[in-house]
Amino acid sequence: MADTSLPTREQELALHRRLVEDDPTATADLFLAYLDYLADYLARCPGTTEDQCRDAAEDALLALVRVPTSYHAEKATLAAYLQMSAKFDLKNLLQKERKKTRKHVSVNLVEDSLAERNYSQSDPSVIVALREEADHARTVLLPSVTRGLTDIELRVLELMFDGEKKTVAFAKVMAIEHLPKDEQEVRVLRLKNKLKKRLERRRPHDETP
Amino acid sequence: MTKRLDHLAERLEGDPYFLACLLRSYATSEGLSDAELAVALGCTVDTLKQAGLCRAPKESSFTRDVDVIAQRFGLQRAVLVEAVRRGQVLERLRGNQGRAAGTFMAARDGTPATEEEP
Repeated sequence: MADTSLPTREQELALHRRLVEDDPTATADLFLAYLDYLADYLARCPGTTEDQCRDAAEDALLALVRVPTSYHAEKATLAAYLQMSAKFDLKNLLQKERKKTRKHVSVNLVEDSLAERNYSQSDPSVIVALREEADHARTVLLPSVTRGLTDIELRVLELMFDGEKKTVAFAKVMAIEHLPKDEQEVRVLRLKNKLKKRLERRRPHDETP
Repeated sequence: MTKRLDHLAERLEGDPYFLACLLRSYATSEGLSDAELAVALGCTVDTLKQAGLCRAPKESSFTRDVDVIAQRFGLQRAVLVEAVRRGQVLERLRGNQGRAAGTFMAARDGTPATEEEP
């Protein structure tokens, strides 16, 4: 779906307001406006099927309907928020399916977090931990983690969830490509660690969105 | 409706939070096909499916919700009211009263019923 068919900023703000105000027709307009767009967006991820992308897109939209206040309009466009949310659901879906086929589960952000805590990834209990972490990240962390983040921090977080490893990609988003490479690495690592700590601090006892 | 929206509409038929579920219950109890229900509501099958994507009318705001949905999709209000009421009763009999099955963990509760029912 071409971006030009998406609601304008004014239209998306009005739609979100209607969701919050419990207009019964707002859910229909949300699905009609964003389902195909989100599924098409996820379909760009390699190794995914149409069904997986569609299901993840549905899950993201239904999550927003369930808690419309999880979206903060001042932080990002509704489309950008839904993209991030749908990616969470897609990763979650892929994890579940990989577990079924007994393949190695790899979620970079969660992997790094577990590696830092010296978990062995050959331990079957790690798969459960990974799934629970991803579930927790999706349903609880995303709104509370993104609250208060700057646009650059949001974009860096998005790259981390995409599994991006290259410093150059982060440097581009952080607009520090003009700096020496070692300085870029230091700054990228500093911001990534800050965001990881923010994720780790948001445990179940924290406020729900 | 695209194939994806069709799939979502079908998924929502299992969730009493959405109008699709109540319409499906009503149609099944009356032995109506999608086409027949659409005729009764005065719309096309496509419009019927789109309307199903709406939140189901709540007790606390029933009149307002039905009016908004009927107007938005050009539905026959009286038929919509009957379909919703019958669908709600059927879902209660199935034990789905107050429970958002499948998709939702919890539907938001409105205030206690203050609107008069039609």
